Amino acid sequence: MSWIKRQSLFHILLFVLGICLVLFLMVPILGTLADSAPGLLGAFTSYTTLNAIFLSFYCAFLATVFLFFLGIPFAYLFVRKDFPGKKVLDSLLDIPLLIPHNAAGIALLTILGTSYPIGAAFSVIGIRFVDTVWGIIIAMAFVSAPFMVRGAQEAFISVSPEMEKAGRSLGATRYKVFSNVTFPLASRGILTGCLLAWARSVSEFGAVVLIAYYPKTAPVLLYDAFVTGGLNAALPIEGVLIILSIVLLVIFRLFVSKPIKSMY
Amino acid sequence: MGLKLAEISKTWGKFQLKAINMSVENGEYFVILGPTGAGKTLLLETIMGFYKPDQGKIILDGENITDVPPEKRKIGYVPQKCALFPHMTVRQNIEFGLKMQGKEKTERDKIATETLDLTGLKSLENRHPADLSGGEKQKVALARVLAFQPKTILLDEPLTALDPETNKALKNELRRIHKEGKTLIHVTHDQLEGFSLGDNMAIIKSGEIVQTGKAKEIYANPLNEFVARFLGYENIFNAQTTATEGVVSVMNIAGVTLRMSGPVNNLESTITVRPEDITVLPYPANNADTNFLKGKITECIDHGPIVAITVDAGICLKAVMTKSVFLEKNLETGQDAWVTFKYTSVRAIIHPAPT
Repeated sequence: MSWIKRQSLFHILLFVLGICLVLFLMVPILGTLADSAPGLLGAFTSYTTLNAIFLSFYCAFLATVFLFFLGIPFAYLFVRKDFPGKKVLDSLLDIPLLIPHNAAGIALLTILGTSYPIGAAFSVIGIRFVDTVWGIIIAMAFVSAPFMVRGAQEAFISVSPEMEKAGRSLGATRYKVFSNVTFPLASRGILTGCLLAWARSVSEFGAVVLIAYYPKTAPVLLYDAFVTGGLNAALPIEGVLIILSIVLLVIFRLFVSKPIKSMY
Repeated sequence: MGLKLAEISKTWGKFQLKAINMSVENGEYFVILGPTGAGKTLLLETIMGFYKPDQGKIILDGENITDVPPEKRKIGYVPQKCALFPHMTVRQNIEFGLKMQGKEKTERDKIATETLDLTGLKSLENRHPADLSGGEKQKVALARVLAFQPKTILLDEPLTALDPETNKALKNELRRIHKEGKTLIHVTHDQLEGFSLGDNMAIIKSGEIVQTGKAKEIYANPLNEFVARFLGYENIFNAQTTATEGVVSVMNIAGVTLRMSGPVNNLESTITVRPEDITVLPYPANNADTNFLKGKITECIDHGPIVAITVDAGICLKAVMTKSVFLEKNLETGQDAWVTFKYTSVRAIIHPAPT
């Protein structure tokens, strides 16, 4: 009570609105968890469910790694260099956020299907995308790319170019400055970008279901269970998915992410 | 030998460095003095190699380094905000350049320890930059460069935003480094800082060097009105020479007659008197070879140890005096006063600034 007494009306109002938002997010989650409780044990021991969840986490991880190697250099270039068409490229980067994800799935299908040139070219070297793990990874990477790149851009913006200049004046090449100064300083922001990209990948349904219905990722399995068995069949799977996701997020927050400190 | 800039030009957005010519001898303390936005940092960073000049050459000890990347120039650089690496301790910051040079761990340790001892930073070696004060950060930035052992060090406003005590201590540190034989090129907008440290000086304005030479000479003979005003000359007037009396020129400024030592080439000229050369008295006193004007004190501004006084004597003249003299003479705003300054205190500015 004494804490509340010390706060201004403005901050109390903000606090109340914040609580409303948290309730808005948590009530459906907690409600689902409560409803799924009876079937949770069964779902936790179900090979199909665990396999789908593992597949989601695994493919999301690989999609994040893929984005890391393509997205980080691109984000750095964007922050440090001006080049013709930069603004256009910057806008194009957000396209995966704007288009419906099933439309993204169709777009990928028309590029990576074996009857299309790129898909056919990959199939020559043994990589097929339709109904394979490759397809899942590409679909996940496609929709998550903006999260990785934007996260990394913010992280690189926070590193002063003065520090890079100081590094170079002390005998470090551009590569050494990047690996010894810029990257370590941006690493926390980049990690956040990775987490967001990974989380977005895990939850992806629309694009994945169109390019790779099989093998079933957790969202596809959930959809499948709902369509074929109704709410009762879907709830335990959802319960397991939510619990594991929360556990992973909490671990990240505890060990990697720095809490935001008050400036007052 | 030393550093030489020959006709360096660089366009940066709408800003331009225009045909910069500058020569700094080895072991010299050279100050680049100019107002904010004059291009000081751009010039420094072009010397450092972060920007490639559009034209011109940079010669270091006889070698053309215009196309040499910054990491191979062996020039030390202290950026304006120190740019210490926040994820490294003080010792790690100091060791960074040595590591990049490929020195062995034992050698790095030895040099870092020596540098820490020399700069009095030993007690801070395990701290991170976030735990240092502004002055400590500047010292670490200097130590980091010293450990790298360059012959020439570029300093970008190294004393800005420091409290007076720290400022003084760092000035002493810079003097010590200079005495060890290092060439220092120091950029600042603070004329007092520049004159207290520099042997030679370049005044820069809008990307152009407007005057260069020995600090004392620049101070005594500003080349134009901009330099004069920037160096603190406040009493600047357009004058007509009406007569000569031997070696003394008689001048008219808006109906007020002043005399200055020496001839003036043009009938129309710009003349100046430094505020510290003017004496304000509450009573008349006329000495030989001294201008003497009666006026009224219009403003007295207390700056702590000194007081700035404005006297309207037909022309507005600004004078400064120590607080104790001001109190002793019992001067105040609105009071009649007599202004005196020697003929030799009146200086002609050779080239009036273009309008």
